[in-house]
Amino acid sequence: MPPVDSDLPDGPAAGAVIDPARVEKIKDLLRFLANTASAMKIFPSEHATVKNFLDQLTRKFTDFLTTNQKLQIGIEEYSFTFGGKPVFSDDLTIKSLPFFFFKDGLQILFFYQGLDRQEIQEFLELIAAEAQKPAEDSDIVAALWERDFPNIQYYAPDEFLENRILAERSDSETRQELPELPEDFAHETIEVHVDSSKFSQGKIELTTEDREEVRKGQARAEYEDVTDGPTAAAEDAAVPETPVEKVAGKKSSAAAMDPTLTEDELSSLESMVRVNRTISPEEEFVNLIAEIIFLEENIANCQASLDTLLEYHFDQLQRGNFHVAMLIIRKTHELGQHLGEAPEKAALLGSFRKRMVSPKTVDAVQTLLAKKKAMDWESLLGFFALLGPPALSLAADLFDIVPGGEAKHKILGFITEAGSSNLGLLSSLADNARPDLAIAIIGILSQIPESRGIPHLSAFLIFQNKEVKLEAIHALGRSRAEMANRILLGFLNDPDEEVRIQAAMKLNPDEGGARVQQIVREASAHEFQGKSLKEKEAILSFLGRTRSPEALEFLRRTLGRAPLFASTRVLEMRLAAVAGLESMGTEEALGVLQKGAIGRTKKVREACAAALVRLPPAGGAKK
Amino acid sequence: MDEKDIANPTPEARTAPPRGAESKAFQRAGLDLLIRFHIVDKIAKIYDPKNDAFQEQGKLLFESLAAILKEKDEVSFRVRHGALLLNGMRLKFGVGTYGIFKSVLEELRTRDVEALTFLPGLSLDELFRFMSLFAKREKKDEGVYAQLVADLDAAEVEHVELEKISAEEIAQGLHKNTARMFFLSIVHLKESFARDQRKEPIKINTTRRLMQSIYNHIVEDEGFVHGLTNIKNHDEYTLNHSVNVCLLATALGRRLGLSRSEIVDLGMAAFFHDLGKTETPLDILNKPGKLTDAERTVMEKHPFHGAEKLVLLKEFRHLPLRAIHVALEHHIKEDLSGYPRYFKKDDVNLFSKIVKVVDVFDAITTKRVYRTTDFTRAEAMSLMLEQSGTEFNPIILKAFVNMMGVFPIGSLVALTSGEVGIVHDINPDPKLLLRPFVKLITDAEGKKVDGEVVDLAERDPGTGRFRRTIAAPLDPSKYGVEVADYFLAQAQ
Repeated sequence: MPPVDSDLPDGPAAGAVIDPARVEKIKDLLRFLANTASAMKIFPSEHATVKNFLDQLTRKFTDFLTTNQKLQIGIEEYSFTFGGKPVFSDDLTIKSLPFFFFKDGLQILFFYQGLDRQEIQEFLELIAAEAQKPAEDSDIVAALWERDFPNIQYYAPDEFLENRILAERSDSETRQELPELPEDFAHETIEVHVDSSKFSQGKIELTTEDREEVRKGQARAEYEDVTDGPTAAAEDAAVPETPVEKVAGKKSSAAAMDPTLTEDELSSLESMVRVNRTISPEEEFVNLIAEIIFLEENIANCQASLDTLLEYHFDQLQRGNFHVAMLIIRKTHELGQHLGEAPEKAALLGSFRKRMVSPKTVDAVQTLLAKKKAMDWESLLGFFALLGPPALSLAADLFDIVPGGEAKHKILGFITEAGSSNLGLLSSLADNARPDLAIAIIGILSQIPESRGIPHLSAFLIFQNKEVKLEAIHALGRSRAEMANRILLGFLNDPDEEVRIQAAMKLNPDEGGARVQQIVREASAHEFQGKSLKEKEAILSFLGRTRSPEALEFLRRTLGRAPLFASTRVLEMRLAAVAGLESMGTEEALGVLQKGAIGRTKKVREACAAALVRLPPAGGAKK
Repeated sequence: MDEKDIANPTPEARTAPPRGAESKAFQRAGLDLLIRFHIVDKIAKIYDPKNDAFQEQGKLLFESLAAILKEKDEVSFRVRHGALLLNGMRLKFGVGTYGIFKSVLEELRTRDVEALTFLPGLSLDELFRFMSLFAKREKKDEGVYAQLVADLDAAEVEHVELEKISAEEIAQGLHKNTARMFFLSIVHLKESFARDQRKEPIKINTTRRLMQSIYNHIVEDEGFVHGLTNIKNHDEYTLNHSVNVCLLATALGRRLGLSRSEIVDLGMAAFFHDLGKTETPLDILNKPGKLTDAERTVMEKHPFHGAEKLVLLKEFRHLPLRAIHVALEHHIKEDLSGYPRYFKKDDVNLFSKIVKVVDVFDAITTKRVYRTTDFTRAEAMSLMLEQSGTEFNPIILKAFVNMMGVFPIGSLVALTSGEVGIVHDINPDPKLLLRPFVKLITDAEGKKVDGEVVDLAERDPGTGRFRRTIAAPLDPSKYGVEVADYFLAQAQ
């Protein structure tokens, strides 16, 4: 807190002899102060360099203050002074410590005996914090005032504030193109001019009524002198009423009351102050703005308030205050229920909630994660839950950026829950660029009861990502739904061989009967022979698994096809037919394989023999 | 504890101010000591050390000192920039201890004492000698400090040390600076309102700095600040009124035990509480006579407009949230009637309750074209007490009465002596609220004089009766007395 005298000397009086050794100590101390302040702008307080600086600075302060009780430093634009003489200079405007103090009107710093390491550290941390603020927000004097250090005081004259206020007015006048007040006249507006000579001129003649009141008052004073005090007098009905009481019309006036707070009242007051300190400012702000929107009749102003609330919402998200987002959404729902007669406002609220679903949420989380801030996932997902299905896209984005572990698990939990009631939206969230998410969504879709999620797996037919498609195929393979098979058949046309093979392997023969003729046709086509042996085997195995007569006939025909000079492709078709027959495993299939086992092509012969070994003997075969 | 000399402290005792939990315990011990010092000081002004009350209270003070000297090298009260420090730690006061705090501070200042230190080895008898000499040397004159030191030397008081007040603690030009701050506040508020009208950013950082300065002036010069709130209708009514409300709210917040930063927030909230009135047409604001229902509806929207403006300010995040509360809620009554009516909220913020009290006080003591009656400050206090519990929070209102006195600073009063005066400062002792300091402005015959400031608690030594008592409050407007001028004259 500044003293009011603006002519304070910085240290010893002008002309006083200053011990040169003392001045050297001060120079050294201030150099160290500036260096420590610089270090603390770069490193945190617990950094070894800073700790070392602080230890040394504390020793220097303690050393000086033990013998001198107080250190008073003058502050000029680029220098610190002691006894009016510079003891430290730094003219680097941006980093200059003297300038940092000077710019806000600080003229003298006082360091008192009792200053310890903790206070020095807090002082320097305050400087570092203020230095990091944008210029228009930083004010070291205001910050020092608020901090109120016990052993570091300052002097910043009111003139600085006066000049600032008058300059701001002048700036306004200039911008409005009003003639600017001359500087002297500008200050005149706050000068005091009273003609005190009038205080001794004339007379005050009391009115008759007032004279009567004075007379009563005199009588009352006499009475109080006798009865020893006004309290006793006030209780006595016979005592003349004071003018104050007359105005109030009752005896419970200011004059009659004891204004000392009782213990109970003091306790209630303390409780009120305490409660006031524990109110969540965020909650209060949201409550207040809801009330303002409720009261506002002008739609444009309503919109402006909602814009502010939205800005506040994003600001809170950036701070990681996700619970505020929950508060806002709850409050707007509550407000919405009171806007029955204001459909326009209700519509604005609806639009506001939509605007809350913004990529800014994800950006905020990403930034917080990058800064390794503790995350309140429960609140964030609680907010998403309140937002409903529209929040799915946000959750999906988050799923993609959040590293594995519990957080990812929680987000998946939300996606599962929210997505289960909106499967179209859920499946639309999957895309090639986010394979992890796509795979997670496949998992969710495949587990929806009554196979309701299966149709949505068709979305993956057009995916580029092989891993995702294979996951979809596996999911489809686990399903007994007819739709799953239809989708798997779609995968048979996939450009990727492995996908086609896996799809073929997962095809359900019970549901695929209707497609046998089509597959037989395709397998009979010349192009089919161009496929790899593995794929041919996979498809013909599926045909075998159907155990349909058409399939048996096709496989028999294919196996029995033994031209004299068979190409590799034909050979592969025959080997694939062996696989198909083995899959079929019926007695008829065994019969065909037995014939094949004695055929003339060695590789086919061996394949049939091997299949027969693997299959149960005739009679044990499937019918 | 026996009455032997206070033992020397253990070697590990320190003089540095305590921190953390120790600080809280020391704060309690410090306040206890301050209260005991205050009691003995009061007794010692009237009685000699042989008096029973002196003996009893003196021993309690001695015990309090001894308890601290067991742990510390010394017990040192120090005045620093309007605060009272005990062994380097600022003593914090609450609404119940403010009077004592102020009284001790004044006692030290009146004697030009910056620091008062009790040392180990102090005996009970030595303490009694000290208190007796300290309490009775009251009159402030050039040599008061030197004389006190000489008296103490003569009485062989060796374990109490005094330190003379330094130049930086002497308030030079205090009133002048305080008055400039008052008018500067009006300039800044006017500029803020104008910027708001032009949709330009309000300089909130400047406002905050101004509030800190106002707080400083209240700490240093509270009575004069209260006196300045007698300035009415300077520039536009709303501006002057808002500044008055800001000053009174800041002072009341301090009495209620709010922290420094809370007080600054409260000041800012009070400063902008009527911002919404910039949206109210002037012909309604200044309409002589009763408003129509339609006009009243418009008028009653100003709290809402003010809150909305604050919310929509680009720099609203630099504003305390409670400024929005106060703008919106300062016409909501304690029983939640009034306006506006909330759809959900069922409480009113503490700051709004504080501002409501001072807002009404300043409003009803200001002459307005539309009001047929304006009340004297004393009348206003009584009228407001009638609404305690319905319009106003009773505890805050009581604390306000405690702060302002029954006859608030600036009240014009007729004295039993026949003189007329203006209440200049209240008596810090809550039991003497009816006996403030009064500046005499007429003699007993009614002839105007630029008289001295008298203490109504002063007794005639001959009769033991009070020399003067307030006989009746008077209406300054009835007698053409410009109360504010008497305060401003001190600032020239």
